Amino acid sequence: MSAADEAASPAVERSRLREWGRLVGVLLLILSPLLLAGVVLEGLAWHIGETMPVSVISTWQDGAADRIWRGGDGHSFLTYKLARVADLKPEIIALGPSRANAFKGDGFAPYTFFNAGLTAWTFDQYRRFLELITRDGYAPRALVFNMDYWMLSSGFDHYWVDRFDEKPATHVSDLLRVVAQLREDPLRLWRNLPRADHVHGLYAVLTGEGFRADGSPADKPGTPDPALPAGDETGVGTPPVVLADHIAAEQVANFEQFATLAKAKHVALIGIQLPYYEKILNGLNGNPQAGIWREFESTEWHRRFADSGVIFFDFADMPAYRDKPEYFLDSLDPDARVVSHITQQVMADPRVRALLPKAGMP
Amino acid sequence: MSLSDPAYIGFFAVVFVLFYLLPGGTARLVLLLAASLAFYCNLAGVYVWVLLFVATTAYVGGLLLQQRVGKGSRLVFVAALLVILAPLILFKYLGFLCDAVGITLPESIALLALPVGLSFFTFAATGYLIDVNLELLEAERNPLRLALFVTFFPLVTAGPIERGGRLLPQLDLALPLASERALAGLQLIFIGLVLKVLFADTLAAPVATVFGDPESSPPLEKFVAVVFFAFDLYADFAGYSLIAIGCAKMLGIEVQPNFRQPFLSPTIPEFWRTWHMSLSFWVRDYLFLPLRAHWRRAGHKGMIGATLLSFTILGVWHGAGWQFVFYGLAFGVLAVLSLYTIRYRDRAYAALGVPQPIVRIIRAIITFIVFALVLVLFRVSYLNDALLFYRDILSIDMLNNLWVTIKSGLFHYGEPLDMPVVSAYWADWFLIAAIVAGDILVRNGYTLAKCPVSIQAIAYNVGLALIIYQWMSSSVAPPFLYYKF
Repeated sequence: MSAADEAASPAVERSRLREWGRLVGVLLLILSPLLLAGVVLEGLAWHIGETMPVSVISTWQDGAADRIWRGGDGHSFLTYKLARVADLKPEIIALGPSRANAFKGDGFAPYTFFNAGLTAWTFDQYRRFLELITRDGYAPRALVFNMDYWMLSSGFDHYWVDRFDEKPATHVSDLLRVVAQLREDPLRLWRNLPRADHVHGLYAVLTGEGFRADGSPADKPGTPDPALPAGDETGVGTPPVVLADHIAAEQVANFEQFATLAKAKHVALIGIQLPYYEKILNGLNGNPQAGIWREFESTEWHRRFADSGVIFFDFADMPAYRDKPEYFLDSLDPDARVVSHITQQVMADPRVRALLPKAGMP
Repeated sequence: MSLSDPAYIGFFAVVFVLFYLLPGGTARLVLLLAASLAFYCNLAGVYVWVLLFVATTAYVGGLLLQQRVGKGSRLVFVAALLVILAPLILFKYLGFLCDAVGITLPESIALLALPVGLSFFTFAATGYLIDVNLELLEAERNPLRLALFVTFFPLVTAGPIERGGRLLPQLDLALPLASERALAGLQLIFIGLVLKVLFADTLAAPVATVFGDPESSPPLEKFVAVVFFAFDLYADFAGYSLIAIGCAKMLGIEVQPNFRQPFLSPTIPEFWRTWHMSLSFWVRDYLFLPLRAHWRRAGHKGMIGATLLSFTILGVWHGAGWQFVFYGLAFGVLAVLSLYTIRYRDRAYAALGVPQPIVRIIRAIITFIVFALVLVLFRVSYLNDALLFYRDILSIDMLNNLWVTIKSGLFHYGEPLDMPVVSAYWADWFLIAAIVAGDILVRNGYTLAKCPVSIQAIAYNVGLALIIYQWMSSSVAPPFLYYKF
């Protein structure tokens, strides 16, 4: 019998299979606790929704109105909000930083609405967001966006460049957050685990806070601390409340590009400067270094915004709220009552009514 | 992709399965050669040509030496050695040599990066040529086998530097899968990963902090960093070696060990018989022994000369720079001193009535401290930095630092510790204790393989869980320290 015949003989083949079986069997047996722990960890991470892809989260949130999600690294929620927009295809989208959080669907009824707040901070990011949501032919009727003076300051982009992350989180990074929680405070996770039925994402499970199906943040448990707006560290000169002598040409160009894209996609743009708490207003008004603020407030620039096709509302200084800390979550973020009041005014405006004729109808 | 990366483990798993699915012989040879070249390409890109050049030179040189014809054979040998060493000189030493004699190299040559593993595979190929020249080994006629000997992927980046006489006969690659052997190889890989990922990478952080800015570290921190670095290097390189040896073993190839509990060595010469053994034995066999034979008539002077020259070349093998010259020379001097004073030291211990076990411990500690101090030359980028370390460690401030640490650590009073490395990385001493304890156990025959299965299972599960966690946590695995050679 030749060596080749011997190698192919059934006995040799059986021996080979036996060795493979033994190797794999021993490995499985010895490492079974680790494999089991891995399976349990994956199961737990999936159960709390931390490792679920955003598309699965979006479908899950469609199932019931009270379902809340907040997971990930807490740094960028872009992929989640994009998935929700792709699912819901809302007629109106609110876009902006945390200041846009308080916009809710009720104010825009009967139009369908999604809050994409805490997603984009600059005009460049606004434009990119619009590009991303309109890739497949869909376009909202209107984009309601935060339009603050600081967005037109030179170099503003660099503060927020890493928060507009188009890459979805990796499975490993999601899993590591669950491992870190198990290492640091497993009891807290255990106690809050029952929440995972209607709340997904590690942060949401632990705190009860997160994004509702319409993208707006679920109200925090308990009332906001009225002392916070006065005592928070946000002040004039610190980002995002940056100062400049003038509006920067490169930011105007970014704004124009955003407006041009919206026009091309037939999306109406409604820009809103929301109220500031008095600490900010006092710091801006009369500040010799805040030339940009005065330019932004001027009728000349408001006309320019209008010329670009943006319906602009300036609520920066609302006397009814400016000195009432109970209406602010912090010096920059008015609460839902203020934003609801503003939404009513916006939707009642004839310019908006011309675009959204059903606004305010039951 | 280094040997401790999860990507490498995946790569090796694929090679392992394919290897045993193929019939023994040429098919497996081609697979391992392709895997080796792909692995090296992944690490070094176009420098794979350097690897192929060295392998080709070794092959052609070996065949020419085999057909030795009278006076010409010496010429062939010298020419083959020069050609095979040319890349090493060009990439590693030319800049230093030119600098030493005041010649400025063109930028295109001065900025050439060192191909990973160059010193290792060059020495393996050189050893092969010397063996063929000495007729200790038949020249390999199969170019694939010789190419695999030089490029074999578990060994190509950092050894162990194998000998042709040992590795080439194993390249028939005909062994069928044996689960026992595969599991033994996996065990070595596991221990290697524990050493590298859990021990070395952890110890590397305080070392990098102090060596990165030696000016601002107090003397005690420098001393701690020196001790940590010795264990960091040991865990790193021994870990790498075990992974390499384990991978080879799984493929049915036995590779020589590279470390044998070096920190338990009682003398410097003994230390070098247990530390980076494949290199020190290479230097012993191909350099020291021939030199000693050549200078045998010079008596002690010949012995001392051969030792100093061999250790200096061993030092320079690590890198081009005066610190490496002094690194090797220092070990040469220490080895000579050790050899010529051991009798007197033995007598002194006997006169003092120190029991033998205590003598061994004292000697091991002294040997370790001496090694760790010389190792500073290995770690620093410039000789001046090494002098800074020695000046501080041997200063009175060192004792002062030590006293402050003891006061605040043991008695919880006195001035607060202004030594972040000492206070932040105190837990790393447990890693060092674990390494020493592990070495003592292994030296006394208590290996993991001899533990009850339940203990082994716990060790594998806990160890692997920690390794996986570490892999997941760090985006980029720190490379092996010996990759730069």
